[in-house]
Amino acid sequence: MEDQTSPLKTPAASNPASAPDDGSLLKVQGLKKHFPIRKGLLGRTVAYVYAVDGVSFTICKGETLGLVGESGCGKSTIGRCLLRLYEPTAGQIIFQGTDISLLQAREMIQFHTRMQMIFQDPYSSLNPRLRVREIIGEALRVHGLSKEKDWQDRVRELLAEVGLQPDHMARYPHEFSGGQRQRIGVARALAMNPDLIVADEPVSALDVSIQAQVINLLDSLKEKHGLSYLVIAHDLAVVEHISDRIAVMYLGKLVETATDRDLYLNPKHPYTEALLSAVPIPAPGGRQRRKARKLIRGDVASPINPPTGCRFHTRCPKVREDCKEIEPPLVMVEPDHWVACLHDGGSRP
Amino acid sequence: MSDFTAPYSEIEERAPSTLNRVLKKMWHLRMGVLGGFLILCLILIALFCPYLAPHDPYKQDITQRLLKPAFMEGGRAQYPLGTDHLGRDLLSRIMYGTRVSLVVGLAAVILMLVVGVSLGLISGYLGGKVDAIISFLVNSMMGFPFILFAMSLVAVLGASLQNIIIALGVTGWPVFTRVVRIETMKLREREFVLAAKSLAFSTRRILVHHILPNLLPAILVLATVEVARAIIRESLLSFLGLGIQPPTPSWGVMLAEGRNYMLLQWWLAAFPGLAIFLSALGINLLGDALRDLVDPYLRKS
Repeated sequence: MEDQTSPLKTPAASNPASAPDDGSLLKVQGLKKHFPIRKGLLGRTVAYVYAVDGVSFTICKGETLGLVGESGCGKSTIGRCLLRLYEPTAGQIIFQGTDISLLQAREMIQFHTRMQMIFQDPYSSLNPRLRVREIIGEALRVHGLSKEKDWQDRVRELLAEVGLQPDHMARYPHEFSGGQRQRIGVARALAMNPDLIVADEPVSALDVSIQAQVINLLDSLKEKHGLSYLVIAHDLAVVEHISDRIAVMYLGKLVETATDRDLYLNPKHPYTEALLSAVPIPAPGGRQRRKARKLIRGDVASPINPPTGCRFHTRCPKVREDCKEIEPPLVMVEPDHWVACLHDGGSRP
Repeated sequence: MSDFTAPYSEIEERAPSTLNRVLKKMWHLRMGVLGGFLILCLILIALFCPYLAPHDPYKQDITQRLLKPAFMEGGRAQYPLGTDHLGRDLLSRIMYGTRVSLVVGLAAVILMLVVGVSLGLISGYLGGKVDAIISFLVNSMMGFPFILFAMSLVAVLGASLQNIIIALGVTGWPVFTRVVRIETMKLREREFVLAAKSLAFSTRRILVHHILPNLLPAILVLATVEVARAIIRESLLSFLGLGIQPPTPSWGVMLAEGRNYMLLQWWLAAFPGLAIFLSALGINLLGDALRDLVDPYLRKS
């Protein structure tokens, strides 16, 4: 394997961020996606963007994994690799026991019915020239998921499930608000009867007042259909509400994963601490345990030329000399709590 | 109860239909209306010229040759635009000429559409080597002089209506490929295309059912302009003797024949020229109006 050097490459038994092995729905190991930068007439590759550089995680049946990080850290790329919208450079994507990273397009079809995606921008994710009926129903007809005559009934059913009216199906997307459009996107994903839904920033393009509605919708659908989610977001408040476990990502790598509660009460990685302290608290006085706001300075380093050693060392408030040379592996510091930091997860050195 | 009690929502529901909106905007674009009127006339004349034309366009009458138009001194009322050097009625020949122009214009553009749009879709969507090859083809076609290409084609295939259409179609498609390729590249990155991919739709379905409908307005505008260009080019080829052959009435042929009599019988060249001018103008005006109509709509959705 070419990712032999990655400290994240661990045997399945001690897979980071994993819950019990048997219940796993999706297992990602050493996933990498490098985008080539081409220049010149001949399209010579001059460099790579290391968008995702060795990421491993597991999603169990019925679980919601939240994936957070700044924009540009590669979280959306992970989502798109899972659905093979991008071809992964390396790594395994084991979905229900099959490594789908190696499948041909034809074999992929059956997995697409089990894994679906909700997109970030509801204004761009619905084809403006198609009626809602066609947007939701096309998959039903093309893949024969419902009988030829029943597909319209099924569309009505799906619309009802996401809280829209059955007569909305004759309308075009531009007749709907952002929140309604996102509901249509959810219905489209549900039409395939998936086991796993990758929600790529599902609410970040919506008004705050609408965000909660869509999040609650996702939550209720999860129980009803036994879904699992990978929720990608840059907003910890969104992820906190919906996730069972949270993975924090920085510049193509995971820096910390823990259960929802654990991560919030007991963040280990300096980056996670900074992210959490940036979440506004809507109460006078704020959270009891909260200390002074921890801000990180500077910008995310370039994924074309990532820093040596720990990728966060250029901005880390606790940086030491060895951080610049040694790349910290993701290690378990507490049960089901993994951190990649040379300070050994000690948040207060 | 009375109409006043109708619920507000019901009143709102009665939004103007798409057709209504289009017609309303059209009205404001008067030039577009003028263009549409010219084209309507053109189509009606082409369809009904056997009933409208005063004479048989092929019937020669040497005794009546080179008559002046009716509005000039010495003209005769039964030959409104005069007669040509073989004594054929000029008005009837111009009327029959609309058929050739429209058929060539439409057929050539349909040919361009089929070739140009499909290559553009494939090139823009697939990218990579396929795109490089198609783009190279487009660029070399566009760099090649049209007349030279058409001449060699007609020389090889022979001059006929069908071959004119082929020559125009083969030289015209790169324009469509260019536009469609760029637009497809833009749409390829949109999330609804990614969504279609993640729903495991075939590439053909994505291209035809998801991308193409979004390109139709742009293609329509381009197609109108290209019809006008094709009509002018047909006249040009016919004028040079590479296109429609006499005695078939084509505006280009009539222009060429009238050229010999320009000094004294100017109307022989002027009226076919006017016909070419008016039809090209009409189509271009309509095309411009369509563009104005379509662009803000695209921006909105």
